[in-house]
Amino acid sequence: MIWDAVFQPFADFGFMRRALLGCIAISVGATPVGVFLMLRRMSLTGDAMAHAILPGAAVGYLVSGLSLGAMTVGGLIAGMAVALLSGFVTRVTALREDASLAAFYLISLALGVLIVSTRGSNVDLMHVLFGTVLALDDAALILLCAFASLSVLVLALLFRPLVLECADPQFLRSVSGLSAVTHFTFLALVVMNLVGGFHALGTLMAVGIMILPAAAARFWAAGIGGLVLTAIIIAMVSSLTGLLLSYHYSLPSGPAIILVAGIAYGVSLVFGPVGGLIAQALPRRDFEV
Amino acid sequence: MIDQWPILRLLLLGAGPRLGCAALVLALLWAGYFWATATPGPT
Repeated sequence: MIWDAVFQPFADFGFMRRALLGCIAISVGATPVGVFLMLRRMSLTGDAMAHAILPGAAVGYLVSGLSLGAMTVGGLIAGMAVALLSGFVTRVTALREDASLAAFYLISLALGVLIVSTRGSNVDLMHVLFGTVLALDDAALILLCAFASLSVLVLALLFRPLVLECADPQFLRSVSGLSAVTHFTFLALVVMNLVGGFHALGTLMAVGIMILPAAAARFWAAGIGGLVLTAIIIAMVSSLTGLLLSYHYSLPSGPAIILVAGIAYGVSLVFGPVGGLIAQALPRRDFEV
Repeated sequence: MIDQWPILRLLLLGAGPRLGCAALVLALLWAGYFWATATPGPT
């Protein structure tokens, strides 16, 4: 019974194994980045960046069709360009960073949809917007695993500067020249993981696997190490459950995965011991003798 | 001017064990790649 429901799809079908591995790679690489995005109060920046990669991917599609390499390079260039341009506009004008980022991502989104829809079909547009997690080939899996590897190694190396940037960016800026390096490396990691996630889950859903598990983990762990670990586990379980629901009930895989992550967030919000609704409603025992 | 070397050492404290853990996770991930691609193509 359990074998048939949980293990059989992965034992029988290569596309399910590939989808699972792709989602695990995204969980390992992108979710810790999502935790740091959340801690730096940049969750919506991640969403904006996810939309910003669309025109680059669309230009890649225009040049080479549904080519993995062209769409990846295009997405990386567009994402980094929007991040740098919005930072530049914030520095030289009176506009705040959230407003300039919102302006650039809306322009990017409109441009991307325009390019894809004028030269491609609705199927191509759906592929770009919602991804094709059940059709990941070897090249796409290598790309996802390589992005996850790079992301994990960089996060392991820059863990302390990143934590310090979350807690007290002014202090890091005042004592070390690593602040700017850390900030831009982190932005590059965000863009890279969004581009990787976009191949599996599409531009609209890629940010979901980044932010939702991180937000859910916030209700289960207080320390950053615990947050990262919990978020990765939630992302992996959501991916597995979403894929199985998609397989058994013929649901679209990407939205199923993100919805399961959303349910995990809802459950955490209510039952989480660290600031969840029930934990807050219960009388606190901190000052009892 | 604050001497950068002690600060850098402080910021990179614990990077070795973290990189070791990261390498272990990545070894598992790439083992997963070979498991997942045992059958050719997205069939």
